[in-house]
Amino acid sequence: MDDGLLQDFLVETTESIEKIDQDLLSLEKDPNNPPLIDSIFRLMHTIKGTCGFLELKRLASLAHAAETLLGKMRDGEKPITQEPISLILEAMDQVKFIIAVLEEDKVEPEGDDNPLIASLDAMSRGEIGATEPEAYSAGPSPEPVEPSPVDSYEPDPEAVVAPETPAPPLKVVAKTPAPEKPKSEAKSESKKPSAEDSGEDKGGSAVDQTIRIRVDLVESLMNLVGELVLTRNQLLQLMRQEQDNLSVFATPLQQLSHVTSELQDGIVQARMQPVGNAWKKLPRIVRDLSVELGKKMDLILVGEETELDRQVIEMIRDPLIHMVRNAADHGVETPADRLAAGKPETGQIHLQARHEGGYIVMTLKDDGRGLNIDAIKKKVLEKGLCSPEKLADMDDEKVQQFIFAPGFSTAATLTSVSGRGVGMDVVCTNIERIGGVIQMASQQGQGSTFTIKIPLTLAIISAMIVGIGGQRMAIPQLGVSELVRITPQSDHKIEFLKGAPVLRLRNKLLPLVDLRSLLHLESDKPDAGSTTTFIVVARVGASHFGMIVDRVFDTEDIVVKPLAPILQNLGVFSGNTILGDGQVIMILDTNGVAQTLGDTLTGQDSGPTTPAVKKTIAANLEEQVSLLVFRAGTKTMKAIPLAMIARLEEIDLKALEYTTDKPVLQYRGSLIPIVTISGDYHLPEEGIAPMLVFNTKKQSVGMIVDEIIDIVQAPMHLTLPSEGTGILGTLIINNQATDIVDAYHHMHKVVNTWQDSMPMTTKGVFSSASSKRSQRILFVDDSAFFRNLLTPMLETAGYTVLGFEAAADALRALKSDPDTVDLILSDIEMPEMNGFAFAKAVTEDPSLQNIPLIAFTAHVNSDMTIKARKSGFRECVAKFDREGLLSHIAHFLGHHSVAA
Amino acid sequence: MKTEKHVLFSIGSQMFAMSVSDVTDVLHNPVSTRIPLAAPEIVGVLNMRGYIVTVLDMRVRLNIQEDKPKPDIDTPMCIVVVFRGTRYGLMVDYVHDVVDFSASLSAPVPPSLDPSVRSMAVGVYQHQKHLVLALDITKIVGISETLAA
Repeated sequence: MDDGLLQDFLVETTESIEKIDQDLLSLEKDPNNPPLIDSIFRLMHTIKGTCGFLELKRLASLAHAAETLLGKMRDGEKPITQEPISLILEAMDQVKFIIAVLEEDKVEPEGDDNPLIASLDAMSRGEIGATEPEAYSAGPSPEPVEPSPVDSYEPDPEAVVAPETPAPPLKVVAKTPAPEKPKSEAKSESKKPSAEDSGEDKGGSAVDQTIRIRVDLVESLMNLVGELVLTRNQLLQLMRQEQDNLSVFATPLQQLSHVTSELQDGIVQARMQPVGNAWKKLPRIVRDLSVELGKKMDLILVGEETELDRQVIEMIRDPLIHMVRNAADHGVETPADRLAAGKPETGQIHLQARHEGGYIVMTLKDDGRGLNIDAIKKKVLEKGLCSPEKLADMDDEKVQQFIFAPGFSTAATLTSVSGRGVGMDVVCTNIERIGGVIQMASQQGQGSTFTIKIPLTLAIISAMIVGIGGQRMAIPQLGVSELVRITPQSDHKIEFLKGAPVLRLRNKLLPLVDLRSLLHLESDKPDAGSTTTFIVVARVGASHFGMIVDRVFDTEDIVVKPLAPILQNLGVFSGNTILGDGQVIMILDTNGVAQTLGDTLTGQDSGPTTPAVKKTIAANLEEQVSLLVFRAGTKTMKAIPLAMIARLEEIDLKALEYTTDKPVLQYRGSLIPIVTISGDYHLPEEGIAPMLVFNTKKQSVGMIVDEIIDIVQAPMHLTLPSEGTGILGTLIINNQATDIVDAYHHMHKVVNTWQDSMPMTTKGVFSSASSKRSQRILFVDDSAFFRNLLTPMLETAGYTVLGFEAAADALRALKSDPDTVDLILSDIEMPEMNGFAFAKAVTEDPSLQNIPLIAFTAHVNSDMTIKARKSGFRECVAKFDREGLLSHIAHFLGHHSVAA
Repeated sequence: MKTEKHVLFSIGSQMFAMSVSDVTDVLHNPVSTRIPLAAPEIVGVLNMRGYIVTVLDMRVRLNIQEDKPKPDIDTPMCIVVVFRGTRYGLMVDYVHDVVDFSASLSAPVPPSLDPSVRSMAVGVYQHQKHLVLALDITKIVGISETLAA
């Protein structure tokens, strides 16, 4: 048997027995106390369960009999009187005796408890109590039982007879060691098998080697040590600054520093527990599962003694159980399957823990069938977690990551094992909550390996101290995978994709978060663009992202202090800490920061939104759009949706050149056409002017304007229909009438061969479409702005557009003439009939159900996508994602026309 | 007669009082770290002997428009209180004194008071010639916490 496990059992059970003893005595004095008997019953039940688990048969059957009797008493079937209580105490004494032997010999003494058990059972059935009322009663004295249960049954040497003696059984068996084993007999005669005695006789028993301390006491010690560390750091810093003056302090300070470090280690140690504590239930779970599922498997545990913070242990217990269940249920195959695959019949689940730096690394490995890529793909499509097109492009590793997606489970049938409504996403969330990371590698047919890396303690972490807009902040080191320095000379540059900053790093596009704008901090550098900045690359789940910071100071071990409750809703901070110089700084929560990115990444909802701002937008201003407000030509303010603009530049007008009288500019190694807002607007000869850059797939177009005014958020409700060409309509922004410029119109003016600038896929459709009839797109959007914006764009791409303001009208038109439309594009948020209802109505109509449906919404997120797919949409595209929209349309119509 | 010690402080020309039982410190001109994205009433966090104190601006909290009487001379002061294990600093113009108030002399809070202030007030006392509004710390911080949650 496992020594550690047994040791834990002994400590735990000894405590429980003492508690039961005390509680039984209290119960005797106060029989009408249901909570008390409940508590005794629970303790006894726990002992029984643990004994059963450890295969301690004698103990288990004793505990079982006692529990049964307690159960009767609890349910009121047996009056709570002295007799049954005495009997239970008797049983406890026997348990204590067995435990004492167990502690010494590591095995249960041989022997027979049947007489005692029989008495307990008889009492439960109501036999003894009725027939022999006086047998064990000292009479109706006010204090029937003396403080020690043993004392009330003072051993009578004469009574030590062979256990077979039928009556009176109780005294005898309770004191009688197994006669078959002389060694234990001798021992138990020399000392009474009671708690006091075993404690006295064995000074070094398990009970005495540990003391119980209240957790809050350790916590407060931990805090104090944290303070001590900070003060020590402060002193050391002072010392370094004034080395000469304070040199007499050098030696004692060094001593102090030393002691402080040791004290810190010690107190951290005090909070540490072996990780095996979180693993205790696992062998049993695997055993039960192998029976239930008809599989053969071994659980191999390595490194159970690896220690980590008790708080962390609590947090990983459930995720681990879930993962081991998964491995047993989904991973390991049935014996027949395993033999067929040429593997040994018995599967292995291997759980290992080890220290690595300041972290503990746990690997859970099974040699089962691995993740089934096809099954995952099928499930992903079923659940609408991803579009078929995207999925087809993904490599296996990416596909595997879907098991971490919310609500995902690959079990073909719901067994009692899995299908409990928690999936790997919950595991992942729990691990990330304690600052850990989880990784997975799986090879079909070979098994899966999960690696969890978690900090040893949550109280002291290693963090990188960075400077953002004049403030210092800490970023926990665990999430940080690398640091990229950006200088004007370096190869790496921050670029902008649809307004969102990105970094090309080793041929991968890394989304960036500008912490300065996220946190609304001012720049601390007059010319931030030209100097060095840093990008802290962090990992969240399976993906990476970068955080733009101004400076990186150093790494420090920091003591994490919780935020005041009034600060806990900010979402981007996980705590605060005091630095060596005494200043308080905030600790950034990389997961929280990544969440702000979630929308920018998928939804193209660019613009300086903070979580708080986002909430209000989501709540009541669904169709808010970020607009770049500028002035060009006339006095009237003009605006373009920010998401359409790729970059903002300032150019020297002298750099403009002319080809066939049309202005062009050498820009990033190629020649781009330059447009102005209207034909009668003449470019100034010289000076610096702002330029908006629009991107098509192959070419950029620059638009020179007079002045950039502002970036604003405004609802897209055009107040006046447009009159002049190139204007979509007019909006009131900041109490000023502002023209919304149709950027596509201007791009179209200069890019003569528009086809060339289209994405390749679209071009293909364009040419094939022109040879046949042009394909028709039905477009539903209640906003005039988007109808005005998209209709020309789609028409330019070669489609015929049928625009509708209301979904009900569109549905009527569709039903009256189902063959006219090749594709449907629909907004989601619309009055009366919304996009989901519309899609449902379309897909339910047999004559319409083959028409591909694309949802078109301001906020694309996973919930929205799932909902859209459930309603019948084939794809969900963000408004302003022109490229995405065109390529999706091309994709569907391409296939559609082939099929037709 | 049963009395309770109160710390007497002022913002603008108004005097306030608060029971001293939760007060641990009074700081002069504290320097705090600003917290991005936090509510306007939160001045920042500061380190007081290793405890992190979250500083609230009582002028904002009590919605007082009136400026400091002598902005150049007086530096702001901060009353540090413990509320449910967390330390909060209440930034006020000036902390005057600790005085005894008898609960029986408390007048009810006039209903005409600004509702946001009235929700924090527990009574009105007279001290020398001034009317003093007694505030309840659980209301001052507790309501902020509920707002944030």
